[in-house]
This record gives sequence, C-alpha cells and structure tokens, in this order.
Amino acid sequence: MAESRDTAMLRAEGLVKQVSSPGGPLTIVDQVSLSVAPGESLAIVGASGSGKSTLLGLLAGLDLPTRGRVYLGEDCLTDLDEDGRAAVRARQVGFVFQSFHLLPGLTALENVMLPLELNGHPRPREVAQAALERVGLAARSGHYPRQLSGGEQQRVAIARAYAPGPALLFADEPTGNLDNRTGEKIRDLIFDLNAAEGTTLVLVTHDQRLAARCERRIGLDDGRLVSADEEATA
Amino acid sequence: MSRSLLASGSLGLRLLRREWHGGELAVLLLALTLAVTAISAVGFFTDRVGAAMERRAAEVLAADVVLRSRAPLPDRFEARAKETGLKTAATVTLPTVVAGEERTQLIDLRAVDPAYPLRGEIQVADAPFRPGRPVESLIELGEAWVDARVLARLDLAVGDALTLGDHELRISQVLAGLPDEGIGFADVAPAVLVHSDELSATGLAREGSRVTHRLLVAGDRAAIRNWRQWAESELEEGQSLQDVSESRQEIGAAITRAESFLGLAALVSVLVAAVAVALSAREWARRRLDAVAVMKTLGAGQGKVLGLYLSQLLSIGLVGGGLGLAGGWLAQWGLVAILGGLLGETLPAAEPMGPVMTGLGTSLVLLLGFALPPLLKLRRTPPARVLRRESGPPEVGAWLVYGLALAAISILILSQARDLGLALQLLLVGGATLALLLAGGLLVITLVRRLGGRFGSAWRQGLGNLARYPGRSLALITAVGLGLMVLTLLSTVRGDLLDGWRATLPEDAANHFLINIQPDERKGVMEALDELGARNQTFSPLIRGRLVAINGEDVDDLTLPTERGRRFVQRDANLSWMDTLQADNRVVAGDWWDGSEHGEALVSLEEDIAEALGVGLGDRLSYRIGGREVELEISNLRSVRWDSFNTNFFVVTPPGTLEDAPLTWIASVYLPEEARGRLTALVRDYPSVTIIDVESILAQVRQIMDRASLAVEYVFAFTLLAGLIVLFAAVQASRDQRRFESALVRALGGRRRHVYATVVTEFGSAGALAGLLAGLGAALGGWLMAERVFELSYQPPLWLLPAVMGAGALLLAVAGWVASRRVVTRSALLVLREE
Repeated sequence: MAESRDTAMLRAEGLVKQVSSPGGPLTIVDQVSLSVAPGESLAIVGASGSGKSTLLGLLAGLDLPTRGRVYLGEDCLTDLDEDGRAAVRARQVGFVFQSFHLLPGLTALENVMLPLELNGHPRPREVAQAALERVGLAARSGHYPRQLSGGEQQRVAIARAYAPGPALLFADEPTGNLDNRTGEKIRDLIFDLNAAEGTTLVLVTHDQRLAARCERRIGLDDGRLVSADEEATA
Repeated sequence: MSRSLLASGSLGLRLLRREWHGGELAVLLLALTLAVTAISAVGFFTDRVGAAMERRAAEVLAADVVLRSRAPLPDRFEARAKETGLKTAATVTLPTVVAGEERTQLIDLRAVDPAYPLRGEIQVADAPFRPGRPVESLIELGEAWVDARVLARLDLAVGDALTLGDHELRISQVLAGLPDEGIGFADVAPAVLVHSDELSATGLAREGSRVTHRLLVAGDRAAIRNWRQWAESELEEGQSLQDVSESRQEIGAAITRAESFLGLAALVSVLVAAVAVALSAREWARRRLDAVAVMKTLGAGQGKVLGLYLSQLLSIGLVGGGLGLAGGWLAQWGLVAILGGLLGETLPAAEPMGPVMTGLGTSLVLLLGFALPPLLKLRRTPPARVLRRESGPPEVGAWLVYGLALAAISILILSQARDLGLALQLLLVGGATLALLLAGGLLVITLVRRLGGRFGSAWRQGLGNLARYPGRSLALITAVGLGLMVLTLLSTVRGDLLDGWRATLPEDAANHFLINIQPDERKGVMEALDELGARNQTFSPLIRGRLVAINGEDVDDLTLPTERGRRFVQRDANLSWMDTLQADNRVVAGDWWDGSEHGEALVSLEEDIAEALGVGLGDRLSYRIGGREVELEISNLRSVRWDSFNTNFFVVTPPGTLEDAPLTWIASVYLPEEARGRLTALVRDYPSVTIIDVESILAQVRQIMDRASLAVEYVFAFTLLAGLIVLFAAVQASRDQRRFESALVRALGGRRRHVYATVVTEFGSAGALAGLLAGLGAALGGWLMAERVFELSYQPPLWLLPAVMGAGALLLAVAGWVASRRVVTRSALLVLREE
C-alpha cells in the first residue's frame, strides 16, 4: 500500500458524494478508495445508476466530492479550485465520452486541434492532423460532426483525447452509443493507442467485452465498491 | 496574464470564424445588425430632420446666426465667415419718422444687402392687408419696399415717392411680412426696406441716432458652429450673438416639443432593440453550455472561457455595429428619397460622427448590458455537464443582471434623449412595466399551473407548457410585452399626443395682435373689431415697469445668475393683471390667488424668468412704474405654453394691485382673411394702435407640427422592424426544446394538428397576457408623458386593452404556428437522433 501510494498515477481516498433530493440527502458514491498505477488500465463496471459516471467525474476533478480526496500524480485535486483542476487536466488528462461531445460548429480537424489550442500548443494543426491519421480519418478532416457516422465521431473524439499526449485517459462508456461491430473497432483503437502511448486508462462501462480487456476491473453497486478485484488491492 | 488573455482572445476569434460556418451565430449578429440599423437610421435621419427644422426655424432670424451691435461691425467677422464658405448679409436698421401730406409715421428703416434674407422669404402683397406671396425680385437702388401700415396711414400707393431724410425713393412693393420682424409688444414700428447703399444718401444715420448694425450669417452646420464659437471669443462691448434657440419663443417652443417627439421615437427603437439583443444573447450563451463544459474538461479555466467568448462578443458587436451603420446609412437615404418631397426642401447632410459613434457605442453598450450576464453565467458552467447534461451553471446574481441592464438602458437613454425629464419618465415607465410584466406573468403562470387540469388535451398541454417552463414563458411574455408596450405607446398614444398638440392651435387661434390701445380707445377698438367679424378677442392691460430691486437690494448691486436675467433687468418689462389663470398657463409652485387677495401686493412670475433672476416664492420684486415704486411678493410661479399664440406675460399681478398705474391695452384676435383688407379704416381711426400680423408665424408653427408628425411616423417604421426582431428572437429562443418535444409527441402517435394546437394555445395565451400587461403599461406611460412632458390632457381609449391583447395573441399564435411548421415538417426520427 505504501509502495503504491508513492507510484500511483491516480489515487482516491474515502470518496463520498451526496446530493440533496426531495427525500433528503442521497448518497451516490459511498466511501470509495482506489489506486491506479502508471500505465495500468482499470475498468469500473456496474449497472445504470450505480454511480459509475459520478465516480469518474470525481476522479477527473470535473466535480468535487462531499468528502474524501483525489490525487492525480503529485496534485491533490480536491485542494484545488476549478481553474487549478482545469490546469491539471490540461497537462495530464484526456477524455472520451459516450456521446462524443464534439463541437458541432468545428470540423473534425478543428475539434482535434481544440485542446492543443486551448493549452497554447505551438503547432496544433500538424499534431491534430497526425492524430487523425492514426485513427484513420485523415481524409475526413474537413467534415463537420453531423456529416460523420457515430463510429467516425467517436474516432475523432479519440484522436482529440490522444493528441496532446495525456498521461491519463478517462473514458465514459466509449462504446455505449455504437453498434457491436463499430464498438469492436473502437475498443481495438483505444487499446492499441493505449499500448503504443503507455497511457494510464480509466474507463467506465457496462460493456463486459470492453471491461475484459482491462488489466483490472472493479464493480460499483449503489455507490459502493463490490468487486473482488478491488478487495485484493485494497 | 495579459498574454494568456490575448491568446484566448485570438483563439476566440478563430473559433468565431469556424463556428460561423456552423451557422449558429447568424441569429445574434442579425439581431444586433438590425438593432443598430434601426438606431443609426433614426440617428442619421433625425439628425437631418432636426437640422432641417432648425433651418426652418432659422427663417424667423433670416439667418442661422446674427451678430448685432449699435456701432458699425468690424470687417473681420464678415471676412472670417466668407473664408469658411458661409453666406453673409449686412443690415442696418434705425427708427425714423416719415411724413405724409397730413400725418407722420414712425417706421423701422432697414437698409439691407440684396442677399437679405439668408433664410426665409420676404412677403409682398398687391395691396395693403391683402394676402402676401414671396417676392421674386431683389431690392434695387432707388426702390423702397414699404409696409402696408405705412401706406394706409400716409395714403400712399405703389409708384408714389417716399421721402426719407434728404432722399427720395420710389415705392415699388407693398411689404406683407419680413422673416425677422419683431414681435416685442413695444417698439414695433412698420418696416421700410431700402438698398444698403441708399442709407448714406438719406443722411439719417447720424451720430446719436439709434442705429443697429447686424451681420446675418448662414450656411453649413459645422461651419456655422465654428464661426459662432470663434465670434463669441471675439465679441467686444455692445456686440451680441443671436441664434435660433434665442429667437422667437413660439417657434422655439414648437421645435423643442418636436424634438421631444422625435427623441421619444428614437429612444423607443433603442429599447425595443435591447430586448431583441437580450433574448438572442441569452440563446447564444445557452447554446454554448455544452461547448464550455467540453473546453473546461479539456483544461480551459474560467478566465480563458471568459476571454474567449468576450472577444467573440466584442467582435460580433463591432461587425454588427459596422453592418448596422451601413444599413442605417442606406435606410436613411431611402427615407430621404421618400420624404424629401414631403418636407418641401432638400435635407441638410447628416454629420456622420455623431450617429456613427452612437451606433457603435449602442452596439457595444447593448452587448455589455444585455449579453454580458449570460456570458458571465456561461463561464461558470460546471465541467461535469459532460457527464450529466442537466447540470447547468449557477444563476448569476439578480442585481448583476438587472444592474447591468439598467445601467445600459440608462446610458442609452441619457445619450439619446434630448430631454432629461422625458428620459427619466421613460426609465420609470419602463421599470414599472417590466415589474408589471414579471409579476403579472408569474401570477398567471402560477394560476395556470393550478387550473391546468380543467382544459382539453391540446389546451392543457399548451397552457401546461407555459407553467412547465416558467423561465422560458416569462422571457417570452416579458420580451413580447415590452415590445408591444412601446409599439402601442408609439402607435396610439403618439397619434393622440400629436393630435392633442395640433389641437392647441385651433383654426381660429389669434393671428393678429393690437398693441398700444389707450384706455379710452378700448371700447371703440372692440366695436371696430366686432364689425370686422373678428373672433376670439382677448384684451389684457399692459403696464410698463422696470425691475429695480430684489428683496430690497438694488439690482445694479446684485450678481444675477444668468445673462438672460441681466438682460431682463436692463429694460422695461411688460406687466399685466389677471383674475383667473389662462388655460395655457400652469402654476408650478405656490397657489394662484383667490378673490380675497385681489388688490394685494402679489406677483406671479414665469418659471424660466424666475430661474434666470434666481428668485423663488416669497421673494420681493420692486418695480418702478410711472415714477412710483411698487414692491410685490412672489406668490406663485407659472409655466407658460409660448406656442399657444395667446397674449402671455412674464409678470402678472392680481386685479386691483396696479389699477391706477399708467397703462395701455393689448388685444389678441382672430381676423378672418376677408376682413384684413378693411383694417385700413381701423388704422386710420386709431393712429396710435399698432397691428401685428402673426399669421405667417402661426403658419410656421403649424408646419413644424405637421413635419414633426411626419418624421415620427417614419421613425416609427423602424421601431416596428425592431419589434419584429424581438418576436423572431423570442420564438427562436425555445426552438431547440420545441423541436425535440414536438418530435417526441409525433413519435408517440400525436398528430400534427395536435402539435399545432398546442403551440398556438401556448403562444396565443402568452401573447394575450403580454398584450394585457403591455396595454396597461402603454396607457400608464401615455398618461404620464402627456401630463408631465407634453402638458396635454390624455385619456387612453377604451378599446386599447382588448385591442392590444388581441393583437398580442394573434401575433404570437401566428409566429408560433409558422415556427412550428418547420419543426413539424422535419422527420421525427431525424430530430430525435440528433438530440
């Protein structure tokens, strides 16, 4: 445990997330502690409403826990304000979402350029073009999202996530909106890139085939960790 | 920090360019462009109309600016004016006496350059007291153009000789009117016009004679302003400058009122445009929530987001402002093309700097006042929105939203309004209406929520939508309500106010004044006027007196606050007494006297003169009247409608106070046209009585009223356009949500008719509600403005409320129906897939 504390890429301690509801406070994430080593791939699995996406948001610093702490490398995300957490994400984190989240007004290339430009990269166009080539969409760089299929949109999103060379990639149901065949292609792409780049991967899914390809799996039920996998490391 | 701000600014601009291809920004830019088009077209146009009106008014001076002096004027004034391309004419006037065979007549001899007058026309007639027509020739050497009254008094006719001092001239025209003939109740002598080179031959301009030298100057507005400014610094003792605003009170008052109407119309366009900008900016920000959440997830901080979108907003503001200015410039040319003929003269060119600055400034102020709050809110979008779409940014403080909007509205109103009082009233009415709309809207939405279950299906759903999305419904009702209110105010109240204004000058308004009627002549003059068929006769006593002390202190020792006040004490004033307050007067401070106070040493003072003298209620004014000094206490202050064409006085006492002072009578009377030729007899029978014909001034004031109405009508067209943009923006605002809901309803088996009925019900009831509140606001606003600004009484018509309600319901129902046509005709599957 002490070893993993020093080398962990991502670490959470006693995370609790409560929201207020008409029937009193509702606990969505309940006492979750976990640790992910650099280069490791972790799947968080669970049924709809089990709190997976909320946990992912807390781990990525998109949202703040009611209690508990999150460390990303050296940085304690829960001690930082929103801008501080954004700066950490800018340096180290990439995202792939279930609903792609491409900006409709930007072309595929421009969408991939966006994180590079936001963070002042000196050559955003070249890097973005190369990233699109790696996902096999170089020919469609001038297309707008509405002109692309779901699978193509997700490939653009993957190119956007990998383009800045993140140390850690979060993926929220990356195949959830796709048919089986397309989902398979996306799975291959994510894991191929992950292997090539040595990126740490944390993904949330109920797609068992996707989870199976991760080195480690933890389950979430009603906000609590349940999988034996996790018990072993804890 | 500033470097990163610059970087995010430049990224913002690149994003703007890219997102432009996505087509979403077009709506905001359109709203802004059209708003600025409306504002700047109004600006350019009212600037030109205002200038034309000023020029029209300049006719009563015969010039734009007049420099006058008792001593000959140095050449440098004329030389400087000519250098800058201005037109000039010099006149020399002096009172003198001409002798006929049996009688003599005091005249106002005017030696003028042939260029005289620079503005307005000389009116001549075929015979004395016949209707005048503009003269077509210039005055030549050897000619004298002689006022009808002189001819009548001295039994002279065109072609006869007239002896002026040592010189004899031939009478070649009967003068019926000069643009700059005075109307002061004293010292008005009929005019004789001669060529300026004749004056020395008459030998009348000797040392000691009361000669007045005038330099008339006219031309381009900017050049006039420069020359005036320069001349002011060059003035020596005894020289003074006079321009339109200081000239005849009737015309000045009419122009001020006309400008109030135009200023009101322009302001209203600005406010309607503000509603459109607020709506479209809100929508613009709403549509960027997802993008901001994604950018924050990708590592952008709040400052970067703000810098990025602020740079977009500012550039949209500049582009919209620029396009709007171009549009405004074109639109005003269109207006001029339509209006040029109607206005009867070419409009002077607009001075572009004012409207351009106003246009760009308005664009930026509108954006900062109405688009900044949604942007500040946008900046705080939580990044977790990428995972949970329902999480939005926290609301920004209400004080910020309303504070910024109020600040922007205040800046716009203060910069546009020519009349601060009017501006503040408008702000007040606008604020009250907004509160009324918000409160009324909330109340009805709550009621609908309670009663919703009692209606049929489409009705229930339509009304339910009103209650289900209170934010969206309130925005719709408020925006459309505000738009409807100002449009109602303009379309109905405007007509009523303009008619009310015109009605202050009835057909038989006094067109002649008779002055210097001796007490023993009064009865005879009355009878003579009755015989002539005169109507509307009023006789007022006139006592000449000089103000010598205020509160016991000699006026020579006092420092009076204004130049006008100093001039006022340097000459005799006209005092009168009055039993009841005239209809065109209003007491603004203190109380009008009752019967018990008659004979007391009280005085009522016109409010502007009181201000010029720096006196108020309870102060004591000492007048020297016929060698005796009388001390009077100010018991009330009055406002006077100087454009009413009644006899009015600055200083009035109760009856019985000044009755033993030496006095003459002054009469105002309407003389029908056919009676004017028979005035000759009255002039002969009462040689001391002077008749002043104000028909031409009356005509000028009527013309100004008509032109102002016309100008307001055209400005109104732009306000209507701005209103349409508001409607468009309001309907657009809920488009996304509506498209999705309608697709869902259809996917679940709902028929198109059902979707239409729902939308028509929702929009129609929102429109009716907006109309009800707008009607109330317009009635209140119209009443306030009529009472406070235009000094007219106003009764909102009974049909106003139901008509505005019906119009609101119909407008919105149709707009909703048209908007949902596009929604309904798209495939439900496609729409749902896109969501």
